[in-house]
Amino acid sequence: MSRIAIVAALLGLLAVAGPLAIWGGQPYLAFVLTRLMLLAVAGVGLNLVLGYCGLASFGHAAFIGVGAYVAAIAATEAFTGSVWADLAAATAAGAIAAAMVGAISLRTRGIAFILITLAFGQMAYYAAISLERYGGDDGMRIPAAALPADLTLYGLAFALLAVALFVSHQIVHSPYGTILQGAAANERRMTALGIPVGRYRLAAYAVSGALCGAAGALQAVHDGYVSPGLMAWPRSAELVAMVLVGGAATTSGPLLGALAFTALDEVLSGWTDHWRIAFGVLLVAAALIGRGGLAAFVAGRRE
Amino acid sequence: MSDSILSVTGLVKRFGGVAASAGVDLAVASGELHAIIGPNGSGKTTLLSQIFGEVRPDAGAITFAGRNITGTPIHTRVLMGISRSYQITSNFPYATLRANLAFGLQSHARVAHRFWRRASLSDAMQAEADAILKQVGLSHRADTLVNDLAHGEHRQLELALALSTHPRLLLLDEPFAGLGAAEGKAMVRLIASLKGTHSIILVEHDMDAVFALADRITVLAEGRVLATGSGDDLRTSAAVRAAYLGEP
Repeated sequence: MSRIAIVAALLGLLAVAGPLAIWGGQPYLAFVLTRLMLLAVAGVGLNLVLGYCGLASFGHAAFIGVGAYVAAIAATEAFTGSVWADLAAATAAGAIAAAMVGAISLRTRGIAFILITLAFGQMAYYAAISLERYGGDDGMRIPAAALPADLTLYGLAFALLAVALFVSHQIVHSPYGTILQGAAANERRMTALGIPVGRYRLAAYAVSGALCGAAGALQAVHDGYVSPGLMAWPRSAELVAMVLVGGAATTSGPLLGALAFTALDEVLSGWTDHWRIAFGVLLVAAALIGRGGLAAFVAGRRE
Repeated sequence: MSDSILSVTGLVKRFGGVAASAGVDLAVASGELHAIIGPNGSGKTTLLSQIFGEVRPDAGAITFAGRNITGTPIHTRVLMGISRSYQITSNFPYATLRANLAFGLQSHARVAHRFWRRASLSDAMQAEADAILKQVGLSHRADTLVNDLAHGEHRQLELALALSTHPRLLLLDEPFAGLGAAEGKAMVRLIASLKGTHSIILVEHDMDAVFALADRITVLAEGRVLATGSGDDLRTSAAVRAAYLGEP
């Protein structure tokens, strides 16, 4: 099965499953699938940096959180009264936050890069805690009146996922995208060929942050609630693990990773609170087998 | 020198207490092949890296084609027409040779930033890639993965990558390193074929190659220019023989 076919099949399934679940009186299934799709969007965003640029960013939950808080605050204060405007603002905020973090972190490599992204993630986390007006430690509820209906939300999440996958696919197969991947393999030579690698990566980082911001915004109106916990560093690590399990640097990887993560959460968390151990096993397997992750397993090995 | 394409004046670079460049002056004429020789640690590669912009000098100035480029970023220098090869070959091992060249060709054509089109090369760029591969003698390997190349072929690709950005000035860092006798002869022919159309700075330990190719030679020792002149001038220079050839 080709990677594109996997993505198309999963998208087709998601397009049908949500509306059927809602009309058939299974709102919880639609709820779970919406969460899965938003997780996948954030994964697609992270994959641009982690997979295609080869940069282990451990602070991406911050961009989800920034988007979530911007959407939650905008909805609560009713600045615009439009979900679209709030979503756009959250997307822009995610991009700007990522550009700021990237402008500093991308000057470093390796361990230093991981630590700086982690540090910025924690700074965002503590900044959210300090927002007394918006619930501080406890987070804030979004007034029910400001929340879209389940089906609308499902449709928005689905559309966002489809757009994210398309944009990522376009970028990855463009000259710009192949150069990002080449720079991951050999930054010095790519620089010597006249490519301002830092700028190229910064742009990818901002797009990545935009996708996470958009996912965070829909996550906020989906849950009707935001809290600093959205940005805590384990969330960033989970996102990294999810992309690696699904298959870094593949189109279908983040979607498969989100699927595995959500499925294990739903199935195993009924039995035990320690379901993440099972996800850990998957992660170890993905690390041992190589970079392909679930995507390679489903699509067959590369080459 | 008024027709010099590159001039370096008073270049200083210290690493801790060691001066890799201790006031280097160098002028390369347009179309000239200028070899730089000197013992290990004499600052040859550091000089190349400063000309290319990978290492920032502590003092001094670098002028290329009449423009001061001392603080210019690498990508701008490449667009202006400077390119380099590395002593330890540096490429993209899990891509084909053609794909390796595509990066430089797209960079030169200023299409590298395009993010919404397919990455496939235009016919014109495809032809360019083929021409460069032919020039360095790797036509038959165009669709091979770089990882599968032999050492000598890696050396040829290194030169091809340097050529892919259409340079006017080539900085070659030990292109003969590790080549056998026959491969070395082929490399001499290859570099000789670039003379005239390209200005070249050649850092090299292989003296036969240097004397066969160089119009002028600069001898570095401990970060200083010991002498500059033709091969014949230097062969007879007592100072050079003492410092470099290890003769009394």
